[in-house]
Amino acid sequence: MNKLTYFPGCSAHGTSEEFDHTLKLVMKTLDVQMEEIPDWNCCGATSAHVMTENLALALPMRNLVLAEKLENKTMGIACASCYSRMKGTKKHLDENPEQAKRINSTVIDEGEYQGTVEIKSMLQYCFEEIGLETIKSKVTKSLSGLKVACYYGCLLTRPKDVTQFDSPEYPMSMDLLMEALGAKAMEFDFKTECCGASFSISNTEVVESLTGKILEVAKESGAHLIVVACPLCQSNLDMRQPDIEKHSGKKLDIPVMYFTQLMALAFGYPEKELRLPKHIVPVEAALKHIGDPVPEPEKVKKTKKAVEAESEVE
Amino acid sequence: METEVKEAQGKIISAENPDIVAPADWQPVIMGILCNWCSYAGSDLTGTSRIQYPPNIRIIRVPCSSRVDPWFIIKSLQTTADGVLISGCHPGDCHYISGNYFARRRFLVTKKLLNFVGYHENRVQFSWVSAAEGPKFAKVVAKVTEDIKKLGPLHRYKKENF
Amino acid sequence: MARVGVFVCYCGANIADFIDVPAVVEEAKKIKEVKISVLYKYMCSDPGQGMIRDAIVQNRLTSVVVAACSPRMHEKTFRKALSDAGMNPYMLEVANIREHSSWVHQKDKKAATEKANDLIRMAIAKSIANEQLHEISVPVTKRALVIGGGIAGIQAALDIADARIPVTLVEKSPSIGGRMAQLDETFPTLDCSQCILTPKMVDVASHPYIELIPYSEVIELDGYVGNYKAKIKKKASYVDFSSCTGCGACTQKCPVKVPNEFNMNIDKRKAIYTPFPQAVPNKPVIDATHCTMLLKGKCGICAKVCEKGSINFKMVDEVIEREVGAVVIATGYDLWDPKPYEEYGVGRYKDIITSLEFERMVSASGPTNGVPIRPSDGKVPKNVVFIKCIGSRDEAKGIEYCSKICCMYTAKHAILLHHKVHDSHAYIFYMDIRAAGKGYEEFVKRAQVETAATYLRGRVSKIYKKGDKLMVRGEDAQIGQVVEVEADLVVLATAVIAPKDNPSLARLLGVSYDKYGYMSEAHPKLRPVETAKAGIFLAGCTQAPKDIPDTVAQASACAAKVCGLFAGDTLKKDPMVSTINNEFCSGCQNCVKVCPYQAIVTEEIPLGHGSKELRTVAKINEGVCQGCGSCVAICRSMAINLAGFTDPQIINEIVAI
Repeated sequence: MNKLTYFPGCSAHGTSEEFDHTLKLVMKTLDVQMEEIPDWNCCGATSAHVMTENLALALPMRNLVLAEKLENKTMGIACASCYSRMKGTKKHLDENPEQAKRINSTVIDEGEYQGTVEIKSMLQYCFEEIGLETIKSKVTKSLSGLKVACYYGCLLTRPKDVTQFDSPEYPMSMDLLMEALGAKAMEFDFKTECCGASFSISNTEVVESLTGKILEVAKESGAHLIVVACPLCQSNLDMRQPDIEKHSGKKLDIPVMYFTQLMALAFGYPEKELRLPKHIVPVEAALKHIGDPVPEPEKVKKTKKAVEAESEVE
Repeated sequence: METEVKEAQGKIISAENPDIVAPADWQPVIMGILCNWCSYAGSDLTGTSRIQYPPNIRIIRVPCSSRVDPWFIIKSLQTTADGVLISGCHPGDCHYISGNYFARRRFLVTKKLLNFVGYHENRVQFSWVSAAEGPKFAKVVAKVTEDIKKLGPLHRYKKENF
Repeated sequence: MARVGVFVCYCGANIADFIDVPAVVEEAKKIKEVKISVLYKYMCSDPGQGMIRDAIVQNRLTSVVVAACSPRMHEKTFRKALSDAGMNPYMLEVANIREHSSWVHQKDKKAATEKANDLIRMAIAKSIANEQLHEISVPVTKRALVIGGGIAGIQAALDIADARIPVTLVEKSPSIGGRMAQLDETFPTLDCSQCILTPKMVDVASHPYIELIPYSEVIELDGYVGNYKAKIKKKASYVDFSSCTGCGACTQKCPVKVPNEFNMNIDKRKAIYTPFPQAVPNKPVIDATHCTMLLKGKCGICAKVCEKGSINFKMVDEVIEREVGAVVIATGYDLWDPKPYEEYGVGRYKDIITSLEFERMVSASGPTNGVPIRPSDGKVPKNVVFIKCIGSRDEAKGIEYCSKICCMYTAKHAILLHHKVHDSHAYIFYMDIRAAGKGYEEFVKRAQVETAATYLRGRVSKIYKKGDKLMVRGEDAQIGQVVEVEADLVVLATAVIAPKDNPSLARLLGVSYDKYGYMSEAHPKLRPVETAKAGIFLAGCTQAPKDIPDTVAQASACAAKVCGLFAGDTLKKDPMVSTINNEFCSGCQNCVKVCPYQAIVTEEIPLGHGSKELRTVAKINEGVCQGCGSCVAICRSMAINLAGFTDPQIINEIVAI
């Protein structure tokens, strides 16, 4: 049994409860024991670092100090924003030991910061630590027939220096994970476009236009639903759809699910465990596509022929 | 070793030997060994720009600062000079690709040796002056002259004193 | 006993106003070796020099000291005067009493005079230790080696050969022509590249003074200026060029198809191929990495159809040697791979191509017969977006510098697109338009006005697919808004980069290269054609990105340099070089390590007179030695001395005051 230090972030206990719940189910199946950091605090999210640098560093630092006390040294983070803050902070602290010491001694009473914890997003953890082969082996109900568009958002793979995971512009890890579950990941150009989350409250017009574009392109890609790995992405893409439809007059109606929900489904958990009623855009219709006949992959055949033609005798 | 610089009643006391005292208007002799391509050309520019500097320096032209044998420094101090200035091209600008790097390392060692046997560390100085740095050359010479004047005459290790 | 003459110059008022010149003259007379000490108003003038000449003869002088301006000014003048009087010119010493005394101590005549006295004493002392030196003659092998057969190498080779100097031109691919052969038309005149290039290629092949060695590489270069020895590896072509007529039967019948690199892999060539129809030499080679006969021992059709029996599957690489006096490096350029532009979908979308791919498409002899098409479906594009500065001026993804030619060829592409597809429209995203050159700005105007290409100032942030179109989203900074263009085809103006083999070639030639891999010139402004290594020159993009006129100009400059080098039978060289006294050399080889020019090697000499045992000593190649003196200072046993700056000379100067 693998152990994993778990930082859920505030969303997981609220708006993205379905993410948290299905993540735990999935990890159970994958034989990973999750240990939530006791007495964890807010990572500072989008607010702290616009106020003061020291506060923005101190909040995640406390969590890191707490995590270091646990036996396991790998930390999994559910929320992409928390992940970005936490990993960015660690990088900054490791590069500026003087400042780290100063913050440590002034505001953090829980212990001394060592910098020994490795931080991964849950997607990264599934992809790098567990591996696609293991995940594939746990699939009891293939998702074949389901077409998905994987949306990574801006923070999961960026900035590259901080995340050190996948391509910052066109990542493929979630796509490959979905294919391992049997679903078809569609070519989706807007997988890392900004959804405008920071303007969620202050300037919804911007959010609507940005999110609207993402949804439109996802819809055009032929996907039945969008898969995400971030609570903020999910709420923005899901919640805004009625407004966007009202303003643009275009029908979108594309559900947005967490990758863990689809994993749980593929691992054989019943639909009711997915907490589908929490979604604003109904999911059920999209999930009916599971089991749709999949057309023979013509493209593959063609390219194979092309490959042969390239080096073989006519 | 860093010997203290002493001044007494308008007279200059040798930094290395307190027994030797020179009058206040005493003028030191400084041996300047300059590389042909940067510092010598720079010193020529000081001339063509008519920038004035103290007349104590006597200049020897060598092709490159790496040609300067520590022997030249020691010989100067033993015979005629109260101080030595070596100047070459800026690091990375050497006309002979890498000569001034060799020079730089060699001088560090030489300086330590001189220090060890009892010379004040300001007796021998090094600088990098490019062919375009006429004003800098004048400044360097002024500073070196000033430093050596403070240190007083150099007698202790001169041959005639043995 | 030395007999020294001292000649002090007034330099008009320059010296005389600030130094008591007559006193200086008298002071010099006190030195016992000084036989004559005189002054004159302008020593560098003809009468002044005459005075020196006469004094030398009358007083049987052994050395001369001129106290005047800096030796950097008139050393050569006075050396000439000595030489004219029958004296060895290196017996001259110059005391720099102007730049180092009269001009810098204008407020203290006494001190300036004293200093002048000292400087003259030093010069006299040094001159007494001077030795008679003679210019060094280095023999010259009058043959030039040109590496690279693009337009730079072709031009350099032709110009050198036209001066009746033999040239060996080494080209790594099967044909000369280089990048220019791939171009359709050239800016700013739109004349056809092939039409102006191929005659030159033919000239190279037929020139009596040019030896063309295609499909080969330089693998070793020894020696020094005038006396290099190059090893050239001729790659196995499996075709005997001497009997092959170039009929082309083999290439027609060959069943193996391989992506055609000359056409940027848009179409296929065969495993036995000539890169393009106008290739010089027009002889095929077999691509050993794809030929099934060479790989699996099956096929051999080419050998069967060859009437001359020129195919030889057993051919192996061959190394030949050439002695040359000078080398011209003309290895050209490569293009940057735009893969890091993931946000554009490079690699995922077939309809995003590079400029050189577009160039091949619009070329009348290209893979699509001169009509641009979309690689995805073969349709002729209507809206084409050109994006400049892909990799250039981009510190994050590519390189910092400007590739220089992209602004011009993109304007050319817009015009060519309009010529080939009349109802098409070109959109050009640019950062700046850099059109400095004869007729260049006018050419860009032509693209903007005649062709009505839409120039949009701003970067493209994203390209995404919409149906079968590519949506290009970028900023139009002039209206301050994000714009989206629906494109059928996107053309990326990728950066010009140094060939990836440049650093390894530079190391084997012993020249330096910059952080991008371009060969370094000796001086960025005044010696842009030479490298720091004497006798090795640079032509074209191997030094930095350039357009064709600049490349040709530099290539011709190389030829002029080579011809100058070969003008005499020997090379003359200053005698200020290091010499080794074997008696003292202990063979420690510290001098070998510090020599920046690899001028010092070791040799074995008998341990004693007539002894059979050997010992190692250092040996200086005076042809290579530049006279820095690093080795002299490092030598523990004082076995080395630098002519003109010997230890006795400098010590004499030091103790003279």
